[in-house]
Amino acid sequence: MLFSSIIFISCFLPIVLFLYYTIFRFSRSVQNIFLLIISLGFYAWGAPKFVFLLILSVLANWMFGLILSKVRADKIKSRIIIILMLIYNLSIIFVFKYLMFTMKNIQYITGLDFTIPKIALPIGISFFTFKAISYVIDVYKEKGPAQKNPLHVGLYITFFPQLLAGPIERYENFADQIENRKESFDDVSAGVCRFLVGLSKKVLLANNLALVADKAFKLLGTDDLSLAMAWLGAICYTLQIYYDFSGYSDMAIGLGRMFGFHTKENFNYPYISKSTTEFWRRWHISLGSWFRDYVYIPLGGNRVKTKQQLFFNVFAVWALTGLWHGANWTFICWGLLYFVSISAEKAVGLDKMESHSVLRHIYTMLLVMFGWVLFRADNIVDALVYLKTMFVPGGGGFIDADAIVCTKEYIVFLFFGILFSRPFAKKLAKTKPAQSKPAQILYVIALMVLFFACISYMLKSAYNPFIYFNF
Amino acid sequence: MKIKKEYVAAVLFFGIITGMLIGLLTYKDNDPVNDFLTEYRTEVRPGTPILDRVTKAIHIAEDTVYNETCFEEQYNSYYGLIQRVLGKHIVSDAGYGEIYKTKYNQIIFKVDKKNFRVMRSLDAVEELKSKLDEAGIPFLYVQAPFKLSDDEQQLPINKKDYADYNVNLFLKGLDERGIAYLDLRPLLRDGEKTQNQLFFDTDHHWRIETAFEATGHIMDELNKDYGFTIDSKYKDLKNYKVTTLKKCYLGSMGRRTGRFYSGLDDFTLITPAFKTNYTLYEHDYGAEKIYTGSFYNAILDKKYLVKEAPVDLNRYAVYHGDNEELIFENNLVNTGKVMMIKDSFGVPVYSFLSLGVHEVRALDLRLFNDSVAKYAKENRPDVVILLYNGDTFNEEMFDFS
Repeated sequence: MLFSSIIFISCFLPIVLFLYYTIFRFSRSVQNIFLLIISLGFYAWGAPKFVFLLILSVLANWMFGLILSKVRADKIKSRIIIILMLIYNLSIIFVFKYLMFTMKNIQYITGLDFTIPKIALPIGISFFTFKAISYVIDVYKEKGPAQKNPLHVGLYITFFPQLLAGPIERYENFADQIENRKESFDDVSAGVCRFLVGLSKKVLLANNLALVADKAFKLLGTDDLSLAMAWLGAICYTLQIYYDFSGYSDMAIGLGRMFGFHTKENFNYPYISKSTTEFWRRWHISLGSWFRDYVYIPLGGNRVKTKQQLFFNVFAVWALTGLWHGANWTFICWGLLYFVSISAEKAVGLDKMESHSVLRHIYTMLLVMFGWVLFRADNIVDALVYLKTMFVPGGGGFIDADAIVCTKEYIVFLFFGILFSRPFAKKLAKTKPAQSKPAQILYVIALMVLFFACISYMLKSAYNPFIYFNF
Repeated sequence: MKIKKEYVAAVLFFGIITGMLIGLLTYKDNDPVNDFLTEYRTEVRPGTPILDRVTKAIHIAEDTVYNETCFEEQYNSYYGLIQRVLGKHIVSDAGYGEIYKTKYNQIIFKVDKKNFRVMRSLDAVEELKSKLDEAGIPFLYVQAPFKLSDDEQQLPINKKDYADYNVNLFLKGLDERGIAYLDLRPLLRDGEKTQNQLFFDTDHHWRIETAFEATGHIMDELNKDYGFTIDSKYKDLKNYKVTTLKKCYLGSMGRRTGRFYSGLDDFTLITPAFKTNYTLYEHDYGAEKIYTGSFYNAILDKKYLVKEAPVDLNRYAVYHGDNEELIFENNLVNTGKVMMIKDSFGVPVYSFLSLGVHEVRALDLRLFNDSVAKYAKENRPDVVILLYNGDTFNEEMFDFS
């Protein structure tokens, strides 16, 4: 079920909120069980057959956590449990997400002819598996208690706002909130506003910009892609993926707050960055910090004896970051692009530089955009052809009817897309006039106008997938 | 106590989503639970694996909620208003993918499949014609125009419509196979009427006046090549009463974009000013309804004539809309039997045509599932007319077997 769907907004959400705050309000345990059940139902709605895999993941990791808490004093036993837990979780993710890709590559390299099974990808598998790993490792590091009650682990892993596309909330941040969260109308109302902002980002900006991006990438194989359309498509995809994913994160954070949960931020205006290092501090923060804390630091991080080790640690993190996004060389190369750029930036000290901020910003945005082309393309060759078209006009020439019409039709979305990718609204909210009563009233009216616009778009528009559901 | 803006937004939000839920359950004739169960029983056959049942149930539930959201027309209008404010000529649409505002401010979808099923459709027509030839029944294909034409670029410059392309290919194929046809496109687009006079702005159909003119051309063709003797008074508008209801009609395209985007159409009703007497048999799903009396009383569906009716009422269906089988018996004309297989463009045509002949039998293959040739052999019409517009090349409409 999508957050940006009529059934979620007009049925699921009002019923769940009503029950949570009426019938179940008198018992935290009952509220938690209720949230767990509806989270499993929420997942089953989109992937009925994989709900059992999710339950299995919950039970297995609850067991690992429980065993760990019992053998914590014994380092060797603890490490064995951690290794077993990693084998279990990574095997599941490997089978469902990477097995076909691996077999295809083996087939390509060896020339052997064997049947490759078609394996469906369980929705959100990368997200809930990473949360499961976070649970066991945080228990191991004593950053959170091992839950005796499997329902609590279940609630952490399956909590529906974060289940399908993150943020990858860490167990240490969630643990205490399972029992001791405090719901308030302040939280609920802030959550509603956040949800509406996210919904508007997704439905009004991402979905409309997607139409241009899809058009451009569809033209790729036809020799009709003009230079202007290639740039327009790349810009639109750059904005689409930001509003798609940050919009989802806003909705997840907002929904969490409606139930009293506080979730860490996942985005912080990544498109104002002046280096790719900074970009990754602002983009998908929960994934970046997950890799930093659970991969980079355990490997030794910066505190290693040789440059080769440091090089390997950074390489491993970025290769895994790319691979996490999908079983395709485009994602791996996309991850490695950041490995190269961040390593180079470290070497020249770009991230610490004070001057040339405009140039650094332009460089960063170009690199990020080229990265998104790689990310969006079906394969490396397509990506290279697309990137080439951005500089050397192909069959479509410099500019064509598609570029003219798409610009004309979507100029408003482009304008607001670029405007709101910068902290314009945030700064505006802090000004004195924004605190005035008319401005407050205007804010509420604007939110409601956007909400109705979202509903009308949801009812009328053809496009509504979330990009990050594929990961 | 200072009320925070977030509090107000939250209260309004909860009010709206609760209202949507209550509206879903109680608005007008909504009955989502019953509709869901009906659809589920129709769609899911006994013995279906449990996982497939669940998946199907989820899809049906989503569709039911989507289709029964209250105030849909208001949301449509709002959606259209947004598109208008944004100055958009390409509008995203869940059904068609995209619909367009043309240079004449008309709303339409486009046929985007070049050569789509044209050859298969030709084969189907040829097979039908050979069966009719065996029975000695003449056949005429009548090509109604699609709203867009190849004469000029009406769509945004990067969009191409293939209706005329497909039609030209189809008619060329008919020529090669020696099958008679009447191409209404050049006859109607002869410059006397503007694009906005030929077609509704908010609907994909031709206007009633255009359908009337088209009927005149069909009558001429039947007289010229098929031995009919239809009196020319039946195609002269002077013998008819013409009533125009101003700004009262939101057609099928306008219903998708909302009235603020598409505007509203005038709707013209053409009824005979001379004496008429009919018996009309309507057959649907094995049931029969019989209407008798004048053209006005027997043929027109009165619910579409209410001046104050909502604008989204499908007034185009006033001339007795889509049924499996209609049999018009004109009790004041003694000769001429026409059998017509038609799409929705045929709706006003068969009604007007029935004024000049004794019998018109109209079949809609979306509902009629029997053999067309068998039906023709049983009823022995003087001609079988196949009347389709340029976007009807699909399997269902050419399945004559």
